[in-house]
Amino acid sequence: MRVLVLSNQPNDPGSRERLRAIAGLDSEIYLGTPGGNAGVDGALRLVPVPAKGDPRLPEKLHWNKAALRRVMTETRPALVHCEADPDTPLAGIVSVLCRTLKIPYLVFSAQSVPRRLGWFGRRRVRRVLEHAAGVQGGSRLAMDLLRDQAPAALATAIPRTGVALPPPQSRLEPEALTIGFAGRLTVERGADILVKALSQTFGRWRLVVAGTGPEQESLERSIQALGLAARVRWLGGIRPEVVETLWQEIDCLVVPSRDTPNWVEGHSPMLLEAMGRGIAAVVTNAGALPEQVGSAGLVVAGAEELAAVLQRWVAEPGACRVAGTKARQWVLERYVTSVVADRTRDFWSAVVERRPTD
Amino acid sequence: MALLALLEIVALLAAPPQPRSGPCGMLTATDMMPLLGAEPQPTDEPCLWKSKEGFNRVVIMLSSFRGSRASAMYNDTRKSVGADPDANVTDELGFGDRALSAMTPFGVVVVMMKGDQLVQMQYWVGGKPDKAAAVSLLRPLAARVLAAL
Repeated sequence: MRVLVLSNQPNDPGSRERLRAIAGLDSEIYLGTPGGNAGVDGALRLVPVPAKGDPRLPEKLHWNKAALRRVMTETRPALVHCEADPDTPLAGIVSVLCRTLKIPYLVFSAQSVPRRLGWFGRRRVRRVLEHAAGVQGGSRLAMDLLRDQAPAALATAIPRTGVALPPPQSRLEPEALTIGFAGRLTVERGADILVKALSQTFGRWRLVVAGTGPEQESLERSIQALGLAARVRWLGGIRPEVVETLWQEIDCLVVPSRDTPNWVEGHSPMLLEAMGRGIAAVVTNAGALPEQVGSAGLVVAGAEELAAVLQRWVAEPGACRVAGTKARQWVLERYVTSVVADRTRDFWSAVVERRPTD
Repeated sequence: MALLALLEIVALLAAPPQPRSGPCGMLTATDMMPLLGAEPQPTDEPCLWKSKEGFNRVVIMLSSFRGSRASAMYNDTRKSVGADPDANVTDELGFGDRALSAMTPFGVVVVMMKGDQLVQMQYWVGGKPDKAAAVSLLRPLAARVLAAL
């Protein structure tokens, strides 16, 4: 099967890895890039298309319609996979050209809450989705948003990138349960929920925080007031070396996000990476988190339930290690790059053949 | 008409404050004075009594867990503090069916089970208090809370 993938972020390494994995199966993949040079990347064929606009705002780039039409005409793909939200100029052009050239297309989006759009934006989204042969959400929430406006399209939820399964973290018998938090310290990320839970968690535990943000001062004050400062290690802003340190130190990762009208937690690659390393995961019932951890993680409704889980793991560190092993297996079965590539390829076939998906 | 409305507003303003519900309603400022000094102030969710000046606080939490879940939480807490030499855990008599007290980074905690209700009382003193003395101060409060369940 020949597929033309058009992406506003064609250099994202995770996405490239997945496309290379699909190309290694039995598909011929052309990757359209805004600008750049023609060439090959493994089994991928790179096709540059002139685009105007600020490269720092890739979603706003205006791809040259005539050049894109030429690419479609010359490559004659069985399917065009548009990795751009349906309100972007790229999705608009893809929709028009594919209808003209009678090529089925599918649209990917990771957006988990509806964006506020003007009349023209809403019109573009409607037209892009009503003619799409398939829609792919980065999570189930994102898929449902797309499907609302594309009832005739085949729909699936597959993340844009997979996880390269890291080696499991091997830690010596820890003296204290080490709990991790990674994320920007904002109200939405819910670090205050974690601190509240820790005020009710007794025994030997430590907390390691990777991330900074506007809520840091208030969190530090709460932690100070609780007399917990000596148990908390602040690693600073999230950088690769900081995250690596975090993975080495923690037994479990807590993702205590809360939904707000304008924001919900979408697909979290960091959560999957932790789980892939055999780190136990406990998340709040927010956004795409429960879907992501599935039966391999613990989902809590708030601070009290979180405290109960953490207290359990402080009392029985073995239970935390078992949860970590399950987490790694879950990622291995569903989220490693090869599995994501397989699922994407199967979805492409289903869209081209117009057969229902699972 | 306007006079009636005015009278209604006056009546509302003159009305005594509504008694608190939940754990904060089980205790009075007078109960708290031995722990927190003069004029302690309560806030809800969780019930927290603060001293007017200074750091001391008392937090009272009635767990929403019941039955085996509450019991498991109690057992996990007991096991966790039991493994922590800094916690100096003691099984307490006279607080509900089962109870323990332990030192925490913020002061002292008493965790109690009465029937299938789990109750936690935290006494924040901002340092390392005399545990036995702190527990004796909490004892009458705990008795009132448990009696109100």
